[in-house]
Amino acid sequence: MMAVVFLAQVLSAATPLVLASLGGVLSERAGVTMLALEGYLLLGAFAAVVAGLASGSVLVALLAAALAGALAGALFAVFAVWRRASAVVVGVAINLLAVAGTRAALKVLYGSASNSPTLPTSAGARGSSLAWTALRDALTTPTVWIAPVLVTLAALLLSRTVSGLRLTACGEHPMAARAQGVPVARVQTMALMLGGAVAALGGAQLGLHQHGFIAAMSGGRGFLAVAAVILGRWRPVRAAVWAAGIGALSALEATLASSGQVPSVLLQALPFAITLLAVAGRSGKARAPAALA
Amino acid sequence: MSRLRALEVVAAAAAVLTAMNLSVWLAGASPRRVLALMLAGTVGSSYGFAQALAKATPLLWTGAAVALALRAKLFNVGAEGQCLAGVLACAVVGAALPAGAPWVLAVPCCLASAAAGGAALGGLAGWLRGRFGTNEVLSTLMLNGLMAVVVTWLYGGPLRDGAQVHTRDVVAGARIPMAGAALRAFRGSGLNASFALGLVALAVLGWYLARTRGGLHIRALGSSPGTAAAVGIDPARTTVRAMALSGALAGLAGSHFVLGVKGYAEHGLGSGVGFTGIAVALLGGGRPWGIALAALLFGVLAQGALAVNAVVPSDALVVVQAATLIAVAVVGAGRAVPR
Repeated sequence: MMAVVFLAQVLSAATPLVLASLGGVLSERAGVTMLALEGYLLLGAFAAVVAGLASGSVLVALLAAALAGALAGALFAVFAVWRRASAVVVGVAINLLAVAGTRAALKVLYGSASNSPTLPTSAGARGSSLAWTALRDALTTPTVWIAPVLVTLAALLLSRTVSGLRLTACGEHPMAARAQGVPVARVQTMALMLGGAVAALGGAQLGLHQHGFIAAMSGGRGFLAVAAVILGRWRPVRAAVWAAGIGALSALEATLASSGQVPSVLLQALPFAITLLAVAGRSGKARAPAALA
Repeated sequence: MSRLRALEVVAAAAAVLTAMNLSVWLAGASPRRVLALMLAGTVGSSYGFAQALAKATPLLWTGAAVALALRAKLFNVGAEGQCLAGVLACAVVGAALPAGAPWVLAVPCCLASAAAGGAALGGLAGWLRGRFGTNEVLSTLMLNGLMAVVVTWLYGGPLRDGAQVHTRDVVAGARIPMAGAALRAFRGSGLNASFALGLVALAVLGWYLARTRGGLHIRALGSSPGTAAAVGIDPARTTVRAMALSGALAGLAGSHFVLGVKGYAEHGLGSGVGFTGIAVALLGGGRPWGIALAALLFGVLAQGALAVNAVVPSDALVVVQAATLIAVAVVGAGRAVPR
């Protein structure tokens, strides 16, 4: 039973991290430092829950999340690409904007600054145990399936298509790309919008899994995803593997904390500590897109 | 200031004001009424004014912290965690001192531990950068997450003072003077001596960077790492020094919370000031007086947000902070800040 619960928790904990890290890979491969993943997750979760509550449809919720992420990515591009502001600062600002903006909107829309009403859950389980219900819940959330598909598609896009090569060229050597006739700013804008949409789908997973929006519910996952991008050396599949690994760590935390045998502070601190060690240990070998600086 | 630059500044200010009015309007209130309430609640009364200065106090420290690291072209986004470490160290040492400790011993002791707490965290990030080339943005972000988890656990568990969800009170001698005790008009506000200390620290920082060997090394590393190494400046050591000093300044923000306002540490105390410190440092342009003015502006915004909370959710005004941050980054594009 424990194993089933754990599997369910790994699936639902890894998905937001995988999607956020993929959004980070797409943005950073185009040469834009991406620290706004935390904000994208929050905006995605918020948009998905608002749209889900209004329409009652999961598909609409996902579309709303992707749209919100693409818009946030476009905002990022306006400042960081077109106006050449520091991408680190724009990232920090978008995170601030997302935390405060969603909380204020929560207050205005639902009269509470801490959480939204709950999303209606699908029909109750028929006689099955809690553990199997958890697994079924995880497997029937579409984002759990969307994540591996998008990772594969992104890997193919980057390595096998002209658009992918152009995107990478913008990240490696924007001057050379420009000389070859690649519209660098436009490609970077597209990459940022795509990255935002993908990362926000990770946020949709958070909202759908919790059946509602809770203020600041991303809880640092966006920053762990930033680390997964670097640990995965800016490759979609490798970053996804790291993200899934970090997700499994947090799932371990959730499973063990409920059993009460291990102090939960250790387990909560673990993803951050291990990520810090891994980043320190591997940073010498990392080869970042050259234009990231 | 060139004419184009001036135009950009005016456009940025207009954009921020628009963002403010838009968010107020979206929240369903009248921008004019909100502005009037904000002014009345901050510069309009002596209490509100003192509260705005109190809100500005931690930002003086974190703004100075971020600005110092920026001079070495290091992006310290970890002032958040370093401030939490300062709060923790300050509260633990302050409570462990003997009850009758005189203030001449207790206050410096607590200040030193707040600085040491922040410096340990910042220095670690600096060491990782110097030794392994680990990007300091990433390591400080991870340390932020780590500190948040650790202090939440400590304040709710091991360091809890009986039924209270906070740490034991620091000894009486470690408390620094509150402005309300000296000036009747400021009574009840959170303004305390940490504000004056922060201003002094900013002046010292300006002197240190401009006039001392250590400061020269930090600036040299920031302007040209290659040249700095060629003239015998050890980049790894200078990186550690810059990050440790930056962390110490961020940690000293803890003096405002623990020795001034509260007298103890609790969950959530000191969170948020690290990220706002980035905005303060950028808006202040790295100059001490600029940082002081920027901290004041954000203090007025923060207190103003509380003053209008009944009409508009105060979070709507944090949106204004984010807009200011972006506006400053756009106006300052290509200067001072590593991309």
